[in-house]
Amino acid sequence: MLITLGLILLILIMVVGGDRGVVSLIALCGNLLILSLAIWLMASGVPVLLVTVCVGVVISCITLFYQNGRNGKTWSAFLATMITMLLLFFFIYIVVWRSEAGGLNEIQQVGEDVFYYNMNLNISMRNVAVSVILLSTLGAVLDMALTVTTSVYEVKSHKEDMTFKELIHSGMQIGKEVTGTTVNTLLFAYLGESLLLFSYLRMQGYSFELLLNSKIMFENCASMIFGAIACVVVMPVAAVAGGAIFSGLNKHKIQRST
Amino acid sequence: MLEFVKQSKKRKLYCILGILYLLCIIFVANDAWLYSTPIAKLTKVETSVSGEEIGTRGTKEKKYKQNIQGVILNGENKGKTISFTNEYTYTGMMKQPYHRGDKVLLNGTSKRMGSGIRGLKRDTELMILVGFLMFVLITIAGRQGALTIVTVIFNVAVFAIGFWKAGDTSNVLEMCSRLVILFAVITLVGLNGIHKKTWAALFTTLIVLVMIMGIFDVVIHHAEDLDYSTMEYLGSIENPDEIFHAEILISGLGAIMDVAVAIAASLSEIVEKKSEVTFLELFKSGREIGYDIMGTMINVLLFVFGCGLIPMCLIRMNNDVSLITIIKLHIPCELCRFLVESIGIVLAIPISILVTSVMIKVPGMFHRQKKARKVQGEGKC
Repeated sequence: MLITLGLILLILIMVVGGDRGVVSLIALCGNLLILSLAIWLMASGVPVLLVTVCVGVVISCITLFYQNGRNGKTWSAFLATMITMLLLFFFIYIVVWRSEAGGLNEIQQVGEDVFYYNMNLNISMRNVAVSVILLSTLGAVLDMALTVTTSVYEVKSHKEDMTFKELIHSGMQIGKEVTGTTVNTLLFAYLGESLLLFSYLRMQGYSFELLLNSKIMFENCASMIFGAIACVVVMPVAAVAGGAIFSGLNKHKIQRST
Repeated sequence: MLEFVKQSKKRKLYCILGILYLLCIIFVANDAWLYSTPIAKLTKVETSVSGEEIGTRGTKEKKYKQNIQGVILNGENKGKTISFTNEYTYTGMMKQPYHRGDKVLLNGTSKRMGSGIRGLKRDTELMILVGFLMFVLITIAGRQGALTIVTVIFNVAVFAIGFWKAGDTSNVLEMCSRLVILFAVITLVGLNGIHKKTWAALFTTLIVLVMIMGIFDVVIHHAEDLDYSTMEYLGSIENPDEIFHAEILISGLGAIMDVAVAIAASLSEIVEKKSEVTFLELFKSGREIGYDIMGTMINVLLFVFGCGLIPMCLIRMNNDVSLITIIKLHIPCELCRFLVESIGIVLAIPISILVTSVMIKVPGMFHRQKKARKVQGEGKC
């Protein structure tokens, strides 16, 4: 069943994507491996936040530099992603700490797992919650950063005499255009995931008050909202980073040629 | 400061929005009177180490005990103090620590204040996040940001009303297929306006959705059945396969729309700039755009799907269940959903190229033929 679906996906990627499809497939597998490695490391007691930071950097490198090559576009996207994620890290940590969103949620607490497994893992679940939110936004942020820096690069290569300010402006313009669909992509990805929860809670007769303040609701909303915030915030950061790198590059070139 | 604000309309608007945001937060932070569940504010929290338990991996886990005092904020017992105890471990898997100043929901009713804590009051944090997202969207993305907010609000409202009206989950699939069409129309028209490329993207999305559901059904029929009992939270739902279908339908929708819009928008731009472009050229540039989005879109879904599984994996792996066993026995449903959605993303590329180029080019050709005939006719005269 899973193998059949996997094969269909594999063939489709190769047929539709060609050579570059294969490259993105390899990058995808690389990311999957790194993610499993991260889970294994966390499970064996390595500090969760340390693993998260390292894995975040490695995954960004794979997605940007392996999939899209080493150039000004990917370097500026990398820089923008790192700055945004660093800023967001503190915000996420404070919010998760304030709302104690770690650990099992209301439904999981009454599930069977609790009886079967020892729940004293000696791993801070609060940090795990931070890590989950941070890593799940990473894919969308990388996508957005690369979109913006690529368009800054395209504009620059078509019109050499663009100033720093104009470059930033054009980068933001493209970013604005894709914001809507990116936010909706995240929204539906999480809505679909929480569909089961909603139907379950409906049957349990949860009142609106309890639902609004429940950990389940908070987990799902926080991941979605932080993802969207990160995607929007990375836009100006990437535009500035791209603008700075490309306008700097140009000066360098001119100096060399003269 | 005031002078700076008065300089432009934009700054005024941002200031008003910022003040509105602050007012909303203050309101939600003090909305205890709206609740029928009793709410207490914690005034004193004393934490002490109460002992050690055996943890996994041969570690020792510290246990903590908290003595808590709080004041009731609403209902008939308003102003009364109440005290409880709370025990938690370092992991914080089942119970979490409370902090001074936290507001908590109690397990009583408005008349009886209850004896224990039911959970934290998290609505303020939720408000802060939602408000911050809106603020960022409007200030950074401007008009597009505002449109995004409107579409998201509409979508969530449709989702909530649909679920509330349905009452039970017996025909969830039928309802979700209707909802999906509504979602697609709201999102695409809301973000792109009424335009040919919007309809192209809409058709593509619906075709791809039908196709992936078809593929999924065919595969499920010809392979061994998917074991729905491994799905998380599945205690007592009697129609898991319908809910699973509905989940696939909705969670893939966003990504498929994203691909469809990206290709439809750029192809229609090409046609606008160069009206004599041929089908083959359009197909080639569509493929070029497709390459770029495919990998990153699947990546986005991978992270959303993979990271949600981390806590569950951590618990199992610390209880001597290997990662391979988890993949084989505990997450086939999630994996299956991810694969079907990825297939949808890849399929969306050729289909949207085809649909868009047909929808944009064919009427255009018709128009040009008419024009040519007209010119010929005038020539004859």
